[in-house]
Amino acid sequence: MAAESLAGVTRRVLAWVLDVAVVAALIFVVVGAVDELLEPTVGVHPDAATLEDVLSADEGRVAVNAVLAAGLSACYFVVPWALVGGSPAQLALRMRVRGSGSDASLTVGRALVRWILLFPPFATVSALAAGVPYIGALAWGIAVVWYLVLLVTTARSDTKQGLHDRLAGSVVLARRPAAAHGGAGVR
Amino acid sequence: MPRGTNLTADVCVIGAGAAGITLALELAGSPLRVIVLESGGFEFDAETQALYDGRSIGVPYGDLDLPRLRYLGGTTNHWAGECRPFEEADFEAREGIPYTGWPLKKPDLDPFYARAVEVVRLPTHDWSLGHWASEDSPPPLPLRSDRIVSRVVQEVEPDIRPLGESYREELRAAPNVTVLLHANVTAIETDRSGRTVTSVEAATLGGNRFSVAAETFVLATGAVENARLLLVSNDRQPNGLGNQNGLVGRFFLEHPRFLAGYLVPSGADPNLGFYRDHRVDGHLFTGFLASAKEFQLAEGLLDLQIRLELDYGDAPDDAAGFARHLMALAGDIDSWQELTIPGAPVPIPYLDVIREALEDPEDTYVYLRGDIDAIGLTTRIEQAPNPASRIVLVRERDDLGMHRVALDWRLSDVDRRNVQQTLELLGAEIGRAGIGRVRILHPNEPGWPDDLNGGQHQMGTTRMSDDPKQGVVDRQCRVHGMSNLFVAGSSVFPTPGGATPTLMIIALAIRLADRLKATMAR
Repeated sequence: MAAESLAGVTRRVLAWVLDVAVVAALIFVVVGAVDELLEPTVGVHPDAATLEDVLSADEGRVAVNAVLAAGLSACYFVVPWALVGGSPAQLALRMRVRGSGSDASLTVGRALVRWILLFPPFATVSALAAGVPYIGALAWGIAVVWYLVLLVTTARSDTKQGLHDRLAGSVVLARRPAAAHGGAGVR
Repeated sequence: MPRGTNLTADVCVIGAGAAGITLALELAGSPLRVIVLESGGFEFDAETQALYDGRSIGVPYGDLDLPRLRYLGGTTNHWAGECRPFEEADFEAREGIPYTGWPLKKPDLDPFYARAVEVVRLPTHDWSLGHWASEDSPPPLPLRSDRIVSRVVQEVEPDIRPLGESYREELRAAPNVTVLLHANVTAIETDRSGRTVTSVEAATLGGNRFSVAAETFVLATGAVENARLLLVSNDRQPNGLGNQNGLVGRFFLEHPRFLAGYLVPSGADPNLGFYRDHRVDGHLFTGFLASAKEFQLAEGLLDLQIRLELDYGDAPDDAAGFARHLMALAGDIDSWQELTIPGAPVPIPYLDVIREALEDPEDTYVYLRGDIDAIGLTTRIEQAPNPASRIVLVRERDDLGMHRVALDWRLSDVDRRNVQQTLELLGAEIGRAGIGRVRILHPNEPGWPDDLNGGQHQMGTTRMSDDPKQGVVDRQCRVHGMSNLFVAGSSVFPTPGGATPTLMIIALAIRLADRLKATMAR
């Protein structure tokens, strides 16, 4: 039977990248399909009279897309965390997420908090603030700093719990062969 | 068709481009039996196009065949669709500029312009600023005098522009019109006097040969080929048909263009929307700047269009340049805000944005970057008539045995002076209006810049004049000294005007068709 230890930062970052790629593709396909069925959300008009008119966005559709994309992202992470203890990439890389302090699975509430902390709506803020000077850039700037904070706090934590784990009450474990386990591993 | 077939018609039209198709459409339904001979087929074919190959031996011109296409619809198959009629002053002789002036006047052509508008399905015959610079359009530049004026060209909708495709069914349905494809006219035969055309010889690239006899013949193969066909048809007239005064092929005209200067705007976005392709009430048009006719007359100049082209700095003209642009775009957060799906964990562009970027990466970068470094001022000069500017036959022959041609393109001092003086005037007006500053490239240099090229408008090789010593065709477009040979197309233009030529070509073709219908019915 495989034993478990605290998941290392490298494997967790790799899982995060894979999950982001998959969920981005999922959102692209779904929103793209909706755009194909209805009118495109963003129109490109090379013949427009002014530069400002080259791009046009249907604000209502932008809002709907924000909800749709955020919903897909939440479903992608929150549901498997709560039901099977790991996102698709985490499971593929033999990791699982559970509540800290006990052996219990992550509750939906904790999974939701973890999702919000790991995938904050920077893109939404940035998109909705399009045209407002500095707000979009500020959102992305904060995003970079936020992820650096999560990375550093995870790496420096004895229990490999980054700030998001501590706030959501979660811990990430990695499975490995029993003969090889040791150190701070948790059985 | 069996080899050696002799076809007969009342009217034989050679060429199915803007002029030939218009003639056929206008003659459709008349009692006249019409045969149209078109060199190409329904689609572009490299072997047929190669029949156009020729050399440039004068001012560098680029590939001689580039502006033209040799299949049904002719050059309209890649036409930008720009239309504007000549103005009254364009028909007048200009003091100090030899060979200017048309035998026709604007009112002579107005009714035909009105019908030409219908052929290309433009919404209106009104080109006035009052009509187009409406509240739905970005405004023209607020210049403080009327020495530099804004004008407009209407643009034919892209799906209408290839006239061969647009009117294919109409031509097919016309009972009195027969269009023969892959039929290359190689010679025009005359009677013994050399004054009446009896037939034309035609050949296919596959080796078939046949002839068409008719009462009347119309050459409508473009400025280069019209001259070429007249020059090679020298059985009875040693210098070629209509060339008794050595004028066939001479006075080749263009709308020379090059980047003549920059307008550096004083504001971040000078709102030049009026001068870009845009729509008002769904109709496509664009604006340009020009000197006023009064200025031209006073200074002894011809017309000159100035197109405003936004310049966004480094153009991605190679892989490294394009990569740099992509990097710049990736770092342009404001652009991503508008183009990405919100709510996603990372910026994901919309499908349509990706599609547009793949179709036209350079332009997409331009849209997104959205700041203007400068505005390029590109000229379209009304070239002054110059007899030394000419098409000549050369020894080389094409696959059908016809002599190829060389273009000895020559420009005149007045053309160069026109650019300098008009840009100086524009600079003064732009500065006075507080719009910015004009920087003239190559100021007062005697030669021409390296980027000089034709405006893809070949004209003038069988010019119109009432005097056979000044022109190849008369005001009815009949070749001087020939009883039944007419020329349609831009080769008859004595001067090229400041406007694009296609609408004039169509108007003149309609006028010629009316003339043929009236005279041949008698």
